[in-house]
Amino acid sequence: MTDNTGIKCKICGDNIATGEETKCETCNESVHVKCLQEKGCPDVVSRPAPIPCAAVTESSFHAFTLSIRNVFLVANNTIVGVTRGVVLNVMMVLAMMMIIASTSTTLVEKGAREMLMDTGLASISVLGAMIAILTGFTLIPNEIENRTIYPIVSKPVRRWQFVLGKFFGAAGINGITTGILSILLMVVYAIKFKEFDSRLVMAVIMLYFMQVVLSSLIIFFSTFMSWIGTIIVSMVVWALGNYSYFIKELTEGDGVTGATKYLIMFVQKALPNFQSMDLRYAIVNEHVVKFSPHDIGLAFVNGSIFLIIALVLASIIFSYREL
Amino acid sequence: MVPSGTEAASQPLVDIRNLQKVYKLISGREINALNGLDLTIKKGETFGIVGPNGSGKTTTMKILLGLIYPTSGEAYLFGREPGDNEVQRRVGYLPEAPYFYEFLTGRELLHYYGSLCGVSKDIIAKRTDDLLKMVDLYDRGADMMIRFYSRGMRQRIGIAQTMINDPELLILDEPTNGLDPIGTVQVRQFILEQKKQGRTIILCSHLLSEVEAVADSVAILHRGNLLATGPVAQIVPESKQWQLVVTDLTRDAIGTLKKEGINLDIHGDVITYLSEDMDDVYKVLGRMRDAGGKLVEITRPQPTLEEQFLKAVGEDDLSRTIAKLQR
Repeated sequence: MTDNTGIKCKICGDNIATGEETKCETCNESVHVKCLQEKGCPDVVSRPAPIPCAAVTESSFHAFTLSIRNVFLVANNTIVGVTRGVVLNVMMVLAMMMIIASTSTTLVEKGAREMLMDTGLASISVLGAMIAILTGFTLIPNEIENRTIYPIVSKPVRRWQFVLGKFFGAAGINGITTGILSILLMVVYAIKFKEFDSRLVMAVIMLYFMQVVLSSLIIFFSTFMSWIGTIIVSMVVWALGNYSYFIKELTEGDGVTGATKYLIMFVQKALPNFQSMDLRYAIVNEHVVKFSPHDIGLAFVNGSIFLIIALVLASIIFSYREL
Repeated sequence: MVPSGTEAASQPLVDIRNLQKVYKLISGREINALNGLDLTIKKGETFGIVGPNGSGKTTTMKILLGLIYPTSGEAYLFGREPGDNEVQRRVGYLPEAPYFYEFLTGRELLHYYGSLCGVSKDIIAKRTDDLLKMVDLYDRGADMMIRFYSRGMRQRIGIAQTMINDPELLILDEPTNGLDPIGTVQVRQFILEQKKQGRTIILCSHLLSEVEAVADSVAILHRGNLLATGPVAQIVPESKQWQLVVTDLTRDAIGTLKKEGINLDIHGDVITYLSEDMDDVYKVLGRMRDAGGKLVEITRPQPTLEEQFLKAVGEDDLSRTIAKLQR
């Protein structure tokens, strides 16, 4: 006959005989050695085994292509939504009118080319940025507010795919608007001066890049800010980014010292340098500023860094956001 | 590890363990939306989740869909965590009062959702037509922008989109919301049809009669707590009582019967007697007839889910009030 310890096994409830007792590492209670080996501790919640689906055989490559496909499906739907809306169409009409009107300001023969380029590119820059902000700030918040996001994220769409889809949608809209306005500007220029200036192409590409970077920031802000906050912050960032060199000059002067100087330096570095992406000054004042590929490359790198950081942060924030 | 066929069949399709969700308000106050919920839903089961507003129904569904995250506890669908791509591919979800892209037509919407689920173009095209016919939007509404849809049409396209990926699990949140009586019957038929096809359905509704008509099992939630769960037949047990309804009894006769210890319920001319013993019912009926009473009916009144629900919620409220007073 074996001695009874007088202790009950947590798993089976029976008394434990001497020598059969062990302590469970999970709950630190006495159990039969056999019970622990065969049944395990009840405090350990076992995860159920996945139930396989006969219809799904997903390789990692297939999963990758589906991810890319989802990003572009969301992007395409975003473009369709904005182009079928009123805001973009009204703003486009305004922008086109401004470019056409700018031809009448260039009646003076001297410097007419520079004048047309300056006003035309300024129209594309300002109105393109306005279109990017006014269409971009609603892209994610509206989906949440209208609850159109529920059927999307309950489908096999990852949150980051949704964020990237919205970004590429915004980039597509920027592409359409900048493309149309640029073609219009080039046609007006060609009709007026019977020539084609290839520098215009580079200038509008960089303006488009500026809008794409701005869109990535708008998407980022909209993942955690209210729509009004997104508009205000985006406009401030765009405005300060367009005066980046001027802000830098402030820190180089004698008037600003101490903490203020470092604060201004921080603001200048923390924001994308949109001014470097605006080639208007280089084209119009060619004798003062050179149209340098090196500067264009630096501007592209600067913008790309901000774009990537904004999208990575937006994806992370949105992944943890409760809908 | 992938389970064998029998293991997978016996494993619950939805497994919720000690799920808790606490919302923290800006004021610092905490709201317990779910308080240790345990639920299992088997494959092929139609499961109703009922409860008053704020009971935690929608929170549960949102956690299952990966829209929000639990504070503690676990939830598994198909043995995987919510939000997993393979899970989402096997689920169809109809949100409460659904809003869809107003700028798309019904057909475009189904194409879009089908594409997001990875369904091939050919299958989407065929399934879209079938689904539009099923929800009666094929001839009127398929190529109309959703902006111009009525509330009922929106609900119909919502039901259609749940099926675009041929899901194994349907999660329907108030599916009859905004539908007229004909639409409501059609939704019921739709659920019964999907049930027949072996799909698992989670149905969340305020209309308890709706749930009772289609569900195999129900869970009653109240203030984040699970008050009762189990098969409908268990939650709404078959009545053991017989009900005898008689009219035209005089006051004297009623008084005499009451003196004899017969417990009568009187509403105007209608006198009701309840007993679990059929012989007793016949004995009382004989006494009533002798006193000039006329038999209206002898029935076995069936309690409804609504009655059980109100009872459970009422008891919970009462126990909370008592606990509060004792504090």
